[in-house]
Amino acid sequence: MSVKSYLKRCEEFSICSQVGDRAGLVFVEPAVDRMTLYQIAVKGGGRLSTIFNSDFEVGNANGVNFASMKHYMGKTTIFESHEPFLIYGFNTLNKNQDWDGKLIKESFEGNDKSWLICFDGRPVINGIELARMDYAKLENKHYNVDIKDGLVGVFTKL
Amino acid sequence: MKAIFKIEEYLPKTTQIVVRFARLHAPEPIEKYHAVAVDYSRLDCYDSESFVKSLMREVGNYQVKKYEDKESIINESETISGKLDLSSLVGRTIECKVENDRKEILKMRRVEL
Repeated sequence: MSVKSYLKRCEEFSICSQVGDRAGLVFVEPAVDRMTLYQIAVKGGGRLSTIFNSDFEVGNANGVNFASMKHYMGKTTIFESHEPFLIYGFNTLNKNQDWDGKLIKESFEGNDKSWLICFDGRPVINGIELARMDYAKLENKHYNVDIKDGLVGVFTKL
Repeated sequence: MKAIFKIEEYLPKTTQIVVRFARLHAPEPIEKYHAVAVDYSRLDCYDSESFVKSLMREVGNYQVKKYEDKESIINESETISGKLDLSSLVGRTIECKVENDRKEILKMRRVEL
């Protein structure tokens, strides 16, 4: 198979996903489509670079599974897989709208400029078990987190 | 194109399943198609949807295509190339590929916490 791509536009952001079943698959994203601020590797990984550039970054689910991609905004990129992979991207809807993103592992104080996304696992947050690709708008309140095997990101509008 | 599969055996000791694949509109019952052993530890077993997608990506798509290529052809066809002359194509049966490269919608669910 080639790289299969998915996209979902949510209220204030979009999430994309690329999935592939082997090493050596290549995915090129033109500059005009490149809106990804953060990349989250759930399975496998590979290397990423701007096109026609010998410098590249390596990311994978067992190492660098969450990385800022802001420096690639507006640039054409090329990804080559090192193994079967499942990767998500958090995208802004507007190139002028920046976001701060991080993975959470413990309880935290939320705010109403933030969204939470479960990328993998079944974490329990405020007593609710989440599944992969569940998301929620946060409020100005405390969130109890039992992360379990979860991979959960919180993204805040700046 | 839609496909179907049928798990004939579940072998947890070797993390394998034995599966038959066919097109939904296949001309034969699925039992007429060969069964293959699949190591399910290589699949995405997060939930039913991810399992089905990864099973098809890993094995099913290839199997279905292989069977389709072996099935008898009712419509004799030809391929065309080069300069297009639409008028010369009238009444001829032309072979082509069905492709689905478009981006699919990522399934997400909004929850209240």
